[in-house]
Amino acid sequence: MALRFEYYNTNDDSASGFFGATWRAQTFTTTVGFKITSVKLLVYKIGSPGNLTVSIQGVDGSNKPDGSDISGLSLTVSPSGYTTNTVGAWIEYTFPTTTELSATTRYAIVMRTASGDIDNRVMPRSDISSPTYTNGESLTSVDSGSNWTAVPSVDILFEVYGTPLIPLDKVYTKRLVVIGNNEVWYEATVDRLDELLDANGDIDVTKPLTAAEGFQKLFIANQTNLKVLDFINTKITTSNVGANPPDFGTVLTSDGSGSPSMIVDYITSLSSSCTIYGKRTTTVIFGNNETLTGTDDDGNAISFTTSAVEVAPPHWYNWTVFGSNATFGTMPSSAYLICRYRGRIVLAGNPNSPHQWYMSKVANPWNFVYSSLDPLSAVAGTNADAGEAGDIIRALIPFGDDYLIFGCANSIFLLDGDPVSGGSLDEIDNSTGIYGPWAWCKDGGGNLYFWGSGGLYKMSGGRGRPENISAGHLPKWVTDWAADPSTYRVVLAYDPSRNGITVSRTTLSDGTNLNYWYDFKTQGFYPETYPDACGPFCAHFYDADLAARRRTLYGCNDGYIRYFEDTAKDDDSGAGDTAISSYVAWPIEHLAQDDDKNGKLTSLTIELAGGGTGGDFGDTDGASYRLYTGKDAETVLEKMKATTAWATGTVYAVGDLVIYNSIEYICITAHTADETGPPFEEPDTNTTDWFPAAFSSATLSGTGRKARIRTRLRGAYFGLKFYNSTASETWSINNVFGEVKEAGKIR
Amino acid sequence: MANREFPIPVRGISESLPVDKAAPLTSGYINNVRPIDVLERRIRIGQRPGLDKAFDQQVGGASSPILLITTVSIID
Repeated sequence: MALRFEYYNTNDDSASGFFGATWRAQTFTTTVGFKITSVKLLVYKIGSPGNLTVSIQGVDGSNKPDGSDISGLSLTVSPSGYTTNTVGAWIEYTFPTTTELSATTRYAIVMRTASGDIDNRVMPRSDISSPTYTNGESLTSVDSGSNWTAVPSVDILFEVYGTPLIPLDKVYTKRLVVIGNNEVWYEATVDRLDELLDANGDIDVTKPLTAAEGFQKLFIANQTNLKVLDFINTKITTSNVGANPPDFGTVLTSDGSGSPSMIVDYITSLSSSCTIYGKRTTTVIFGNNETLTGTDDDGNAISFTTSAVEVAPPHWYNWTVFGSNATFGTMPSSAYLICRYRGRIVLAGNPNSPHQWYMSKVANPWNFVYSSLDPLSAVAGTNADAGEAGDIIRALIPFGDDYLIFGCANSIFLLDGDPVSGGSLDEIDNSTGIYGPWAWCKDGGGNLYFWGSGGLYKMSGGRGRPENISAGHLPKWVTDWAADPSTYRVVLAYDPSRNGITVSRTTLSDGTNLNYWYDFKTQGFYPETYPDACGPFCAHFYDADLAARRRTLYGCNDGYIRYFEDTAKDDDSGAGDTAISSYVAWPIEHLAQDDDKNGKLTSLTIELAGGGTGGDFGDTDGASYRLYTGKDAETVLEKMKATTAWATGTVYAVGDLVIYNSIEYICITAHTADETGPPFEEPDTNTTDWFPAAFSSATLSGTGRKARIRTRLRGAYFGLKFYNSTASETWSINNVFGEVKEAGKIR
Repeated sequence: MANREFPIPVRGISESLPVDKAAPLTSGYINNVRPIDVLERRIRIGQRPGLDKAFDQQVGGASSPILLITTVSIID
């Protein structure tokens, strides 16, 4: 149950090597007292450095290492297996004993190698560009630790782990896993993603892929690439597993020091050389050339010798049946849909059998022996009473252990219960399908939402008949989006902190996007646009250990993960920030009560959010408004929505609407826009041919109730638009009210 | 004396009814606003929250979409 107590693990841009008499140190200051168990360093090696020693020392009056390793807090290891990739890899140095460190006390992590030179040394990653760690510093010694020199411009990345001085209830850790660009990254340390180098190039992002968590591993279905990311097992190897290989669940015990032991989970082969993955149940680790013994399921004695020291997780390997042996069944040759249901790993999306589904044995993802006799056995659509789905499967959506929904191309099927024990597969709707594996989400109440053939659907409780909840608001949504899986990805994401979902259509080729926010409180739809770099390709609610980090995450077009942040007034679009262009039109209303008469808006009062500036309520930034009038409501809306850019050489008719420098103009004299300028008789200066479409406009600043706006707006219908496209600004409005009088017949 | 309140369109966009007969509290033209503002989380309409990076690391180094995010829970 080790926790991270102190750390500086970001912004590394260089490395601070050491060898021979040149030692490095990084001091840190404890916040609270704890029992230190290990430290982590982000390191790589050059050449073949000698054994590396990492230790903890106290500091002297100058905050430099005091020269004395704290008893039990020194570890010497061989760096032979370290990566030579200058990106480095986090290595954990677990000390032989745990020792209590005092609160608010400075200590030093001291690093040195027994031998080496400039071409053979260990390189811990460092931040050399204005590092921000303020509770310690890096130091260098050139005389084997006798004297130290502080290097304030550098901080070596580190993490210090330990156990608290009081017992904890928490016994698990959550890790984020991310896939993109044929690479797998994971949250090796809090707030930081690192690449799993072993997986580099093993994923093919040109093929569809999904993944499912199970048994402290991640199972990945990438068509023919079926992979496992294993966070829990220890890996041991042998050149000859002997005549009686271990079975799933076999306990193996070593004759090495301390008798390390493990429970076997998976083995790559049942004969000759193989790799064995199992949960080590002792703190003592497996060494090289140790003999492991046990008893297989048939009572036969197991005995083999390890060929290397054990390797700690995470591990990356091919997902096959146990021992890659047909005795344990046959997995589908290709699948891109996966989930976990009733303790089984479920696969679908085999292009050769698009209606088929496959389930592993309960609690054993390495067994695909299909049988109808054993209630725990693996099962597939072809050997179960439930049968195959009658349509091409596009999404697998489990609802706990109760039922599993198959979202298909043109229909929805529901598997109720366990297919080996009386479970049934029923078609619950044939009027719509589900767009794809990312085009659905669930809310906190167990309701399912998905993008289907008619728009956005809701299935109450996940098993009611799908209800189209968007058609009444957006009857043209499906037509406007024209979503086609070969061109667009549709992603739905539930945001529990804001009580709503986002529905995104992202262009596969360039990240351009159209989105809607559906709000559960108001049951309304709100269009949104994000920078192309932020186009969502996937989403996931990260229920992190730390409450401050629990949020809905979006995998974006440019390889970054983003989330919505209330304090962010712009979108972080990669290299910089992009201002958010926001606007809203008030309902367009007839000014006079008599439909045959005009109205006159004589004054308008607006209350911006924030009360008094700097008070208790959050202060809005400024917002601009425009007033419009027209004889009918649609004309008013057209004036507001003018988006056609003015262009030279264009023939314009009376009533044409254009936008120029973000202002709408209406043509009042038919003409052809000049091409022989400058000037080109642009609308802002050409008052003969153009007139502002808005009646008036202004920008409001400050908070609270603004000065009454005197206006002589006269017309049948009135339109009001608020907007802001200024960088680093956000806005909100409390109230809008005014004075209206009747004003003569409409002519 | 003010004699008309212009209700804030907190119920989002509506394109299914005539413009002058739209459902109450809806708008015919709206973008990048949400009904619950970011200042106080009250229902009164305001600009949506911005998108921030959750991690400094760019997966894949080069610009390439992220195709999957998920969580694995592990016993300590």
